[in-house]
Amino acid sequence: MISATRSSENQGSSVSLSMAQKKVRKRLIERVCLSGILVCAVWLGVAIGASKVDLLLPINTLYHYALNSLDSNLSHNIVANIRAPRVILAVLVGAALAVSGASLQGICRNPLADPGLLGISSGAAVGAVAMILFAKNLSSLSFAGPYLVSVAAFSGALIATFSVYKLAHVKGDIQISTFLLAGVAINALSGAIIAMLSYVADDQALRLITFWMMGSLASANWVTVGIVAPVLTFVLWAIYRKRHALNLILLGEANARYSGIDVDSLKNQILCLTALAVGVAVAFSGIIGFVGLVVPHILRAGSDTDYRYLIINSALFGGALLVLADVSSRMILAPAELPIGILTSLIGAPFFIALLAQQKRRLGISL
Amino acid sequence: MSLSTKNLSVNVAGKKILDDVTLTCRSGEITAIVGENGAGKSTLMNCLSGSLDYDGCVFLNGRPIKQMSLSEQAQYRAVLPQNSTLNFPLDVREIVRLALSLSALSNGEQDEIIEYSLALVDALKFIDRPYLRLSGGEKQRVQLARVLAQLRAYDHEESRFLLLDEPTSALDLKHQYATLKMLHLLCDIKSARDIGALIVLHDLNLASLYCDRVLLLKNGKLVKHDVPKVVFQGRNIRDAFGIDVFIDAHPDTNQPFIIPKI
Repeated sequence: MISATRSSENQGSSVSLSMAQKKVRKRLIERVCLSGILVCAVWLGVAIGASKVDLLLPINTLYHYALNSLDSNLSHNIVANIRAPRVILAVLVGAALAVSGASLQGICRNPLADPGLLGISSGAAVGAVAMILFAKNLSSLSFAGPYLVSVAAFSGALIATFSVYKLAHVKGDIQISTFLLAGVAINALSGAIIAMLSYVADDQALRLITFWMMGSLASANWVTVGIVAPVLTFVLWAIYRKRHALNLILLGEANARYSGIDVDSLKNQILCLTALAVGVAVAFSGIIGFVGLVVPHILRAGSDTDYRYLIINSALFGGALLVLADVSSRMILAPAELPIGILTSLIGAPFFIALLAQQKRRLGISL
Repeated sequence: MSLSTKNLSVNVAGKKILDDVTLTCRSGEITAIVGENGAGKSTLMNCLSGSLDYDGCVFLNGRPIKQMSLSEQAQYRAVLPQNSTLNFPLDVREIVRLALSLSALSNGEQDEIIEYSLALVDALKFIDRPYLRLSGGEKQRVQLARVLAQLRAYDHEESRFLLLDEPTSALDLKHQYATLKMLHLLCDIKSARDIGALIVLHDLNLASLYCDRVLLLKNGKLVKHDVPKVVFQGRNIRDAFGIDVFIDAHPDTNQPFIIPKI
């Protein structure tokens, strides 16, 4: 029977193999394009300043850095100590948010999952704001400030993540409506707590709190990059290792289990990893919404949902997008800066509304 | 080797869904599970596939499945649930490839298994189509191909089992018979592939024509476990389903052919 079937399928397979090869080529081209976009974005991020644009600045600075003669030039100093860490932070935060969104969408089996919409970002902000207020009273701890704020933001994110997940999880499945409502509830609660903390805060702390809420990469320096880089690299690596499991869970939790995946353990790991990524991202850049929603969606529309490619592509595209958003936020109101969170929300929210309308049509159910 | 249960019982809220079921399904055979709605067919499937808690024991090749890890179970048995939903766009090829993603096969070997499995269910012609645009029956055939591919993902000496919950529910007449015939050949003891299948079926004639043994369930109890000729008798069917039937012999195979009285 095998030989009979094989001979009958030979014709079909030669055609389909070339289709498969086309797909491989398409994926390679995509990967190269996304990497190119990221490199261009980083280049622009370093070259474009509030006052002027100098496309050769990145090369010149690197050249002087190699010669150890940075001190002589102000703009080289700006690039080396302000713009470069800021751009690197933008890449890391963008990649972390996009990959978090993609993997949350995987375990929730729902394209509407996003760290901001689900209240994970605002949960992290509650932790960060509480720690800022608390640490102000303990000035002796100031050297540990950034670390403490990260840990607090991670704790806040973790609590928010598991609350929203437990609320939305009904009989082994995630209901779209309860899921978004749980996010609304967590966002409302976090908003109330942050409002309360702002009410008791003094002027200086209030400015900081406003900064968290609007999102900004202005506080980037090599110390923050030094904290964020290893944590987010670890998260990206750990999530990438789960790519096959994330693929299998697209078929449903039961099918994933039948295929040999410990679904509960996978979900807990992904929830912890995304909470870690979002917590650290929020601790140093505030709430930057919709990156996790928009990036995987565009990539899925452009190619496919296969997590073997989606995770890396999301990281590349998310990083590039946030750098470009940061550049725009610096240019729109130059020499002042528009907080980047406002910009991503202005673009992301209409995108979310369109996605919601499309979901409603496709699923034919009331959300 | 075999897939078997011993004193299997399931209680939900004080009600016995399965009551002391002891059975053995050997490799090289197709066993049909039949019974009226709510008789416990899917519950039995869920116990055998390890996704439901139960009292008693389920053995896969002689080992209790509770002592096997999920990935170990996945290497020896593949499960097709009644429904599989997908919320994201994937191609048919990628759906079937998912069954192989935890194996150590090379891309070329994977492609070969994917195409072979799709050919078995007559779905090779839409290998590069988006899964979400297929019809219900086509989707069901692709899911069956995925489950068949999972059995070929691992190279083992021991027997492997297919657990299929209503694999023909969305299929047209031609594909119902073609699918059962394909499974019959796949499990044939002479084929040396050492595969057994357990299939929940509503069509008693399909069960009679293509299955080696039939399990008849009624109110969670196993009332008959025998070859189709013994199980499919007027009295048994009346007791289990509450309808009267004519039993004739199929002209091609001489197996019982069941026609409901009206």
